[in-house]
Amino acid sequence: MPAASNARVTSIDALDDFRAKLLVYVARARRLLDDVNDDVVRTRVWLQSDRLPYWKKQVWLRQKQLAMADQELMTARLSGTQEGLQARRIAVNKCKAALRETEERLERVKKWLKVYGSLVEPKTKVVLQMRQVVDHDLRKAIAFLEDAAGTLTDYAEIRKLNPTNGSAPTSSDEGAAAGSKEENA
Amino acid sequence: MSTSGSGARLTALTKHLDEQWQQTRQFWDDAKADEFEQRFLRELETVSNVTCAGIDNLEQILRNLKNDCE
Repeated sequence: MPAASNARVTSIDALDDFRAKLLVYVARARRLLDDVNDDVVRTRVWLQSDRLPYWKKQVWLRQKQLAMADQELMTARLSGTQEGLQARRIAVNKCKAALRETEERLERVKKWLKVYGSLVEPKTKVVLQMRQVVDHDLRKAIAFLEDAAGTLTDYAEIRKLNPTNGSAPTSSDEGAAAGSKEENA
Repeated sequence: MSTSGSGARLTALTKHLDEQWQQTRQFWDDAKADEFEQRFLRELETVSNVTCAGIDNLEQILRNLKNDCE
């Protein structure tokens, strides 16, 4: 096989290799972008279906604990024992602080849910735009490389049939998609 | 919530593709290769950079949210 034909085969292999790598990139980028997008959707569901009921229940439990502590304080007051009274007051204060903290957490969940559609979800716009580029533009890029490799393969076949044929095609004079350093040499 | 590091992963993925392209360029160096690079890879690089910054920002917001609500 003539040296020029070997060089063309090497060139086609390089294009095919890069096309394969581009396909791998497309698959990985799609998965990554989908994961990001899915996380945004899952987080909203997590807020709505997990965190909101969880912190509502916690508030309810803390209210119940505070009511019990209040009741015990009242009982201690009526019994007139000073030592028990102080311990009950501390318990009530602890329950109040715990309730306050839980109510704040519930408010934060409600706040996030309120702004989620305007603050978080619009951030996925760039992710969707890139998904579009990966799906649409890179598909075209892969077709471009296929055309380029196809043109070189066709030319290599012609050279095999007629080894005295002229110089290798370039993209510009054939309207084809590829050339190589070896061919241009 | 597992988006952590996705921006950095996308940056690395795109950078790796660019390195592979530079290797391919050693075997393909004509006007069509230039066209391919400009039309697809430079465009991809630009979009990828914007997306990585967007994902980093999104991850930070989701971390804050998680801290607030867990």
